[in-house]
Amino acid sequence: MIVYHGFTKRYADVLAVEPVSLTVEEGETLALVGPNGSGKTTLLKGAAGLVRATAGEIGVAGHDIARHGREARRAVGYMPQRLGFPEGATLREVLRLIARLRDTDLPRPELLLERVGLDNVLDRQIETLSGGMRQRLGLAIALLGDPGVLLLDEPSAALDPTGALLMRDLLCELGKEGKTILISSHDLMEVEAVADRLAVLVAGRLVAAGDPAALASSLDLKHGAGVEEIYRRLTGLELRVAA
Amino acid sequence: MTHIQLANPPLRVGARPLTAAALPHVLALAAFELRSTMRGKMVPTFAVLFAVVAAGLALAGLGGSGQLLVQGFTRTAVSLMTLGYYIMPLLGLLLGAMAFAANSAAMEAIAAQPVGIAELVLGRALGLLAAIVLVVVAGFGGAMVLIAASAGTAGIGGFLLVALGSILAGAAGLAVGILLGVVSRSRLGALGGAIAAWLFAAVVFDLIAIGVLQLVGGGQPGRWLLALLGLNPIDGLRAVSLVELGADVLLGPAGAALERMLGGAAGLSFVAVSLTLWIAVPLAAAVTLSSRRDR
Repeated sequence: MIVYHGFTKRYADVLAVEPVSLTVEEGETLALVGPNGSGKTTLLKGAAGLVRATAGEIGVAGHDIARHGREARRAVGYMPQRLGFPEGATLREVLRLIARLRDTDLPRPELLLERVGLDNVLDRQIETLSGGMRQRLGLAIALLGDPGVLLLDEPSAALDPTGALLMRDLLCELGKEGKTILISSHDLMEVEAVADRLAVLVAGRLVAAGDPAALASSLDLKHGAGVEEIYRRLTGLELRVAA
Repeated sequence: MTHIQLANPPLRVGARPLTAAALPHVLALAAFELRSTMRGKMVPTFAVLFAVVAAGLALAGLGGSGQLLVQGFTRTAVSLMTLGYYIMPLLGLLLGAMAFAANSAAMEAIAAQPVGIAELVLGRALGLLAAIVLVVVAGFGGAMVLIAASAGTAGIGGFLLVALGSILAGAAGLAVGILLGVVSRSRLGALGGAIAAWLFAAVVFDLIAIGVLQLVGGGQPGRWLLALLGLNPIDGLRAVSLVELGADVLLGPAGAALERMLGGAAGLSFVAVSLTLWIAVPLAAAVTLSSRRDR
């Protein structure tokens, strides 16, 4: 479970995230959606312990991230938006390092990579991977140690349609395994497919959170309205081209 | 709304103390940092240049007949001292500043792991220090083999002392460089700070020291000299190394005066304390500052 309780983040004079209170229940997949700069990544980084709250608190798997960051991070697998490592580092080296930092064994790293669709790349340098392969490596790193909570920042960014569909299938699979998943995404079809609930952020403010059907109903949208209609309504983005 | 269990002690600002359980994390980070650093261009270039210059210094004694002679350990140590005590702090400053400068998004996936800030900083610092050690070994090691093979092992103790001093000077530079990297807002700023710090320690400080000693010439210049040597690890190391290598022979009456002040265990202890502070204080400050910021 992930609990944001009045989480607020300010960078110098900029209020990046206004007080947010939000809960991701155990075994649930919640998608953060919103325009660029709406605070999605800050919320994810807050739960990963990478960003300190200006006010409020975040609990992850029962641990307050500010007071017990190590324990909280042990329960979390985090996939950054852009994965970068020092030049020349191979996948094997990185996976071995992460495994050691998580105090876990990784006797067959190739199996972890196969799970995310990366074959025969264990000894390749990370900078030689395509953007899509890096995304999948990011997910492999997040899965290392089998954490119960996954924080995934735009997992399908830079993926081609095949890669995006594979990522979607993988996220559904992880959801069925009972992982608690918080993802940020610009891909509303992906959100529709994988998320149990969504939270819409606009300019650092949480404007709505709930399951799509309940949100559509509360917004007086027609029956069966999807995530796209909800998003358009909540972000004030009117349909410009007639269907 | 589910509230977080808050029956915990109040929030502690700052890094948690390291425990024995942290050692595997520190060593894993150090090994990763060392590999990454050795893949870059800077350290291997430093190592090759240092090895070539050190070997050149060892072979530099040309006799009257034009025959190439090899200098003894003591003479080569004095020559390498200047090189090692100035170049290694520069290397340390640059390595530390670049590795810890802002926008190091590259380390985000590592920073999200269940490790403390102190482990992250010290592990990476240890890897960078290992790179400095390799450069020193490349330089002094090659020269040592040449000298030992041609001129015997007389004076090897002083030579090894200067090699150790070069590593410690590099470690002090590294610690300051890490702090500069942590406090800088940009990579460029960190690099600029590192170069400015080196220029100050290697050039400007000596001018200030000379001025101060001129001003207090009538008082107790010995105490002032000692204080100034403690403030600058490069100067402190040079002075103590000269004494250990036989300052009275090398520098005449001035060397004899230096030996009276810094000779024996007192001089070594003095520079050891100074260097320990120059390494520990910036590192502790870097850990503390990092623990109060976003990762």
